[in-house]
Amino acid sequence: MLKITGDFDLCTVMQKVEIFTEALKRTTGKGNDIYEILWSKSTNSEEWLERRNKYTRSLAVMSMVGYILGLGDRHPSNLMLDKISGKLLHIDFGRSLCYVSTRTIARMTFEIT
Amino acid sequence: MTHLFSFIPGDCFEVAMSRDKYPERVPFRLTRMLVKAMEVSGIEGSYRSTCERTMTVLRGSRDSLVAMLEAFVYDPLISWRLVDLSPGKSEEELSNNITGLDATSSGLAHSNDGGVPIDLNKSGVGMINPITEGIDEEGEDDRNAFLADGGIGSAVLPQRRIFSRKEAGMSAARARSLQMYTNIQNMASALDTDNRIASIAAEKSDQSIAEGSIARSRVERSMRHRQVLSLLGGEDGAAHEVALNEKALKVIRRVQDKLTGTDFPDFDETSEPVDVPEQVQRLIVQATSSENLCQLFIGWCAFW
Repeated sequence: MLKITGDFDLCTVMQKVEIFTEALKRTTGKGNDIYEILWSKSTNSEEWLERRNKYTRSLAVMSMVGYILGLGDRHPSNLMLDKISGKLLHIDFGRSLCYVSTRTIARMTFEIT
Repeated sequence: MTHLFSFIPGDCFEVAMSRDKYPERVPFRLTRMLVKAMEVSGIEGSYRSTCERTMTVLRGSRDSLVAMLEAFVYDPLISWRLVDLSPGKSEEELSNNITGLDATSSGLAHSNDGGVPIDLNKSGVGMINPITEGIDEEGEDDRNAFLADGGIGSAVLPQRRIFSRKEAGMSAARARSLQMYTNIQNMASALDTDNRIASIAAEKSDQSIAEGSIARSRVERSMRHRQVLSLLGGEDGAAHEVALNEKALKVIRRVQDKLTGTDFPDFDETSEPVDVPEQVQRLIVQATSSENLCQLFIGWCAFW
């Protein structure tokens, strides 16, 4: 996104939307990362189906709970995916305080247990 | 299977949504990557139905949830203390808070409707009276009078002196008007809370009403307790506690709004609270709209 535009902060909302949709097109993985992880880590299709269901449900539950609590700062490093069961868990409710104040760039990786 | 949460509220209770730079605009993360992993059904499958079920359960156990969250709200380490009390806070605001505290404490003492273990008539007002006297007459006299009153220990006295010097700087009329203003504000907020709790209780069974009243008396009791404690804690502590209480009440109300479905900006007093499927629909729309996602901080990886 930053490569497309010079200073993203100075753009208006409309420009930001355009840049955002353009960035979605250009991203290499096309957002298939979790999909591929779930697929490639399963030994058979039955297991894959079960894990996908667990993933979907845990995502839904965590979304609702997070909304009620007003959780912020849900960047990818703060989502934890269980490699065996496929459950998704939100982590890190506290370190984000210093994250907000200092604005250091967080590691953009997945934390997979 | 049980999950163990290590829960330190840093960005919770919408601290992230109310910050100045890059406020969060989405209720939760539902980006392309998360949606794609749900395969063919996407959002419109078991995701939505699970969301609706979860929300129903959460709404059903509203009272116990709010009661549990109170513990976090009164946590002295929570970050909105830092957020709320900006360094540029003027002395006038500070003294405003102190007069406000006086008003609330005496108001609470009058409206003490029983069942509260803290005896405000003895401890609370006994402490306040010498403080307010100190505005008019400064010196050793009221100190002696205070000691003769048999009030609290002399440890409080130096702070009271600081109090009276600060207050003496203000003209009497200004102090009075400030006190009236805070009185009215407190009355208004009390009314507001009462109405809200009454409306919530009305739509539930008898048992829930009993639970609600218990929760309510707990909130009130802890607030009174806090205020008495903060009087002992000196002027800085007092100002902090007042600010914290206001913020804490706001947060509790917000969570209650979410759990009744009245938290959306287009909601007014006349319209019905939204039902669970409608609420989930609105949340999903908010979380997936490009307009919201593109305004987030770049490290949030909205495109991922």
